[in-house]
Amino acid sequence: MTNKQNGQGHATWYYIGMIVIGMGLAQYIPLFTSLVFAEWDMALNFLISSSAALATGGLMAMGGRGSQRQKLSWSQGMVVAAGSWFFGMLLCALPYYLSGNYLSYLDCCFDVMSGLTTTGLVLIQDLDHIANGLNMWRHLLTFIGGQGMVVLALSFLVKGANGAYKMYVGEGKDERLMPNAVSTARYIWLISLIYLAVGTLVLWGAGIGAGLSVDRAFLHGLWVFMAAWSTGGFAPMSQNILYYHNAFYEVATVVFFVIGSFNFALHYAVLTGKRKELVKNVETVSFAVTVTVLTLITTLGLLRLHVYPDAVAMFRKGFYQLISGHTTTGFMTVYARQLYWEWGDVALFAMILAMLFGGGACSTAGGFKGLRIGIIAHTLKREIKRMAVPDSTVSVEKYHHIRDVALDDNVVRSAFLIVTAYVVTFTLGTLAGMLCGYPFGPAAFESASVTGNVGLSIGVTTAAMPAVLKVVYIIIMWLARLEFMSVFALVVNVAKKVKKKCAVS
Amino acid sequence: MRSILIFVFCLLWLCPTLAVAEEVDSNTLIEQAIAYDGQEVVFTGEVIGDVLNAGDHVWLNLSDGSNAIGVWVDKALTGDIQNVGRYAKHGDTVQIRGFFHRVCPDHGGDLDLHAQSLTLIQRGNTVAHPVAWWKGPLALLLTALAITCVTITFVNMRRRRLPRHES
Amino acid sequence: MASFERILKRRKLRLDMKKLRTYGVGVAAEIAFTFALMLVGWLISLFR
Repeated sequence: MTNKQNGQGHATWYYIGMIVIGMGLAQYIPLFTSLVFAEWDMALNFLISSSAALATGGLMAMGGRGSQRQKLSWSQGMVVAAGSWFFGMLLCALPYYLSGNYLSYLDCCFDVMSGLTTTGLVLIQDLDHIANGLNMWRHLLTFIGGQGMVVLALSFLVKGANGAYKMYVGEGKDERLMPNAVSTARYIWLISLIYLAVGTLVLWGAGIGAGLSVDRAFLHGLWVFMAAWSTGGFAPMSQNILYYHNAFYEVATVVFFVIGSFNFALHYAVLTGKRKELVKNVETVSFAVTVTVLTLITTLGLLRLHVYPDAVAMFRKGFYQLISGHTTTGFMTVYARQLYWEWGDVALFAMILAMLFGGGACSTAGGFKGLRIGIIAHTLKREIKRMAVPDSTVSVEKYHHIRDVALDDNVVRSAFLIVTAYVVTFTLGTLAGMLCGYPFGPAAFESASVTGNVGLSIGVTTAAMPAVLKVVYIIIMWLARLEFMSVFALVVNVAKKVKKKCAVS
Repeated sequence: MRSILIFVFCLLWLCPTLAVAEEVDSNTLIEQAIAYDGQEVVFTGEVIGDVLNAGDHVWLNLSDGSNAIGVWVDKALTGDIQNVGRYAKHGDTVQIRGFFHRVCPDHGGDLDLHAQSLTLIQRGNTVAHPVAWWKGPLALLLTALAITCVTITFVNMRRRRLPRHES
Repeated sequence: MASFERILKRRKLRLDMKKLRTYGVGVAAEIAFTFALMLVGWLISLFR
């Protein structure tokens, strides 16, 4: 192995190590929370696991010392993103395991991956009795995962990485808000923190209005905001948003999870004065169209079966679940099994489409993303035009995303490629569910939820689920959140190393 | 004797609720919500989370271990409740008799129970979370290791600090 | 000298207020968008 190859290998370990250190430091927040509430056992759990993460991250970074100068290649950037998510999952699961609220380490890993990918499916036991520190960690994981662990590290830990943009892209984002990746990462955090302040305040007030005590309303407001903004869908209580029995609370969550599903580039444009972008942007237009159409179909399906007798119920149950699914949040105001028993195929079909279509690109949301749906729609429009109009006319189809972008073949190919990858993933997830014994409808619904990183459940995801299906769902959540490329790069990288070792021996 | 039997029969006729209300668990109510919609049921569960104030009524969330269900109760009936289930507490176990709604018309379509009566079944208690003996030493060991590793990493970083290189 | 520094500080504060106002209006615009979506959802929910 040449020195150059050695250095390259070390560079990825260095950055993965730094990200893992970041996740170790992040655990001081729930640790502090547990101390405040005198949850001594839980506090000790966090001390153990944060130290384990810091030690592991430190060792990894030491293994990669001296390689900060190395310019990361695209594949290395991808490997760092995918690898840090993998190791992050293993290490962040430790406090869950030590808490005693899980039946296995696999379940812990599932919940961590669900949190980091802002999916929101849970396997936790006895959620209604968990420590405040543990709830803080659950919701913090979605908040960090939504922004991205790489983004976190780039903002605070890694001073000017050579190839920072490649790691950033590896985490499923590619918008250049600022001239460099570190500033972009910091800006993403700035927007998130601005909304954290606004959102927590609003939900705090809403919680008091719903009848919670002032301190509980604050904690719940903070947690529910983090889950809403990250379009995660975790909630502090087992009944999810139904716990509050309050229309205003529900409306507040809709506001913040819809805004949370916006592209960060859109936020940047709107917050710096380009407010017209909200109505011109291809993603917001695509989102508005698909939400309207799918709400119509859902409502039609629910009306046919007389599921909800009045408009208020239709809005607070039908529309709420639809928009929660479409933004890939996963908040619920009905029980999972009610979707199975009451909603019927038409409404569930619309829900599956909504979950797959997803929210904005370069956001906390999942799914195909509005940008790609918009690009595909424009491509179809262009192709139809070409068929109708004589060959001599050359028209350049454009779409608006912050600026007018020409619909060139690269853009179109990329959009179709990633959407195809999502569809294949969804198909495999559905197949896995059916092979594990679940009927087609629930298997498809749950697979859409996992593929879109949504978190709505029809009742398939429980601790009693087969371990194989848990592993499949973990892999799908990971692949979908990172938009495939970085996980593929990691697998190819590892396969190459294994092949080399086998060849030598 | 016969008159007594007739009297008891008449009483039963006048109080249909005594004969009809079924004791159910949360899974049954959720899975068979359509069948139980509008029925009077008896439900037993632990008060968890919060007693949510809503004017002259409150929302209790009762958990029977499988699911928690929201119960709309007149505040006057909740005087007995002292403990609410949290991390360090097991809440009071209460039994309510009331009407089940799959899609409550008063509450925006929520699945809920409207309690007519509430009985305390068992007083809640504090739950201890003892610290396992091995956690202390393990924490010390790992913290020492963590401090060492992180310090070395950051010292190395400072030593090899490169000029601001961004891409 | 002191008065020059005071002018500079005042101008910087005014610039920051301007930025704050722009951000605030931006946040309000985004919230308005979500209400518009909810309005659409509500109108559809009215169908019988």
